[in-house]
Amino acid sequence: MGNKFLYETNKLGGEVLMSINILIVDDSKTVQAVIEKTLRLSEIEIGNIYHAGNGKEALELLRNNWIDLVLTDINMPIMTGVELIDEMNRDDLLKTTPIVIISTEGSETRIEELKSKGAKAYLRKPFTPESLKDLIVELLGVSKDE
Amino acid sequence: MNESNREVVKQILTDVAQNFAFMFADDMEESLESSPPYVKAEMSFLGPYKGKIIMVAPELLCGDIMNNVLGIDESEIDLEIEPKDALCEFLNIFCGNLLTTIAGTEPIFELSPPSVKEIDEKEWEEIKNNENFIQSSLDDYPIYVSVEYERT
Repeated sequence: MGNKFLYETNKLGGEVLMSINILIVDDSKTVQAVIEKTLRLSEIEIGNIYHAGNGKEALELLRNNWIDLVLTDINMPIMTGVELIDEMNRDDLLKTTPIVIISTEGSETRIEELKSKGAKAYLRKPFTPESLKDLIVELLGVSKDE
Repeated sequence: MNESNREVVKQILTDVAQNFAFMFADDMEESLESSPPYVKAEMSFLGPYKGKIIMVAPELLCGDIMNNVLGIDESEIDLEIEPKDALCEFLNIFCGNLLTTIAGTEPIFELSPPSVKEIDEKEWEEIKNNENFIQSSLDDYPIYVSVEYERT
């Protein structure tokens, strides 16, 4: 069983997997499309997928929608992924939302810094569809197979 | 750019072409014909080194990169995605690989988000003849890459 918040109890007392809502934050629409396609083809039970081109747009979506997971780039105009994480940490309602960094970032120092701020995992671009799927399944414990 | 750095740039171009765009990169043996429009993407970085990377290519190549990355044919293209966006992401990944190659995985760099614009044939011709640009081919399309950096 993965993250218990992603399961609900049915009338017979069993636990049923809820679909997860995911926010993709990247200034490249190509990357947004690749991530969405990977998610749609995966075994993961997906609800809504939201898109943001920078951290500011992401915060707006996070404050107006129920989102279970944030997949974010770092280097973006207007508000970077690092600033987004800082803002989420300052918000009581958002600070527990899991964040995965998907970036070209190669600095282990920066990655450790982001993990210490609360990022749950890091995936370096270019990634394979399998690596993204495996990471989400491991992080949330969700799969259509379960 | 010295010969050693040129080889580094070519190797990274080959790796990114294969791993991101599923394309074959090679030296441009002879001038490859291509048709406009042409696009120029660039981004800069600042850390232990500061510098700028420029990539110039025909828009047709950008479209092929996008199709390969998304795994779709032309008829399925989401019209909201501009082909040149794919060149920006190609450049972004190239930059990430370059920085770890020249500086390792310890230092932190601040990067400018990649920008892209269309260029006219005059500028395209100037770049073709500019020795600071490495001339390569990606699946029979020309691509010109300039990498400038120095220690800070």
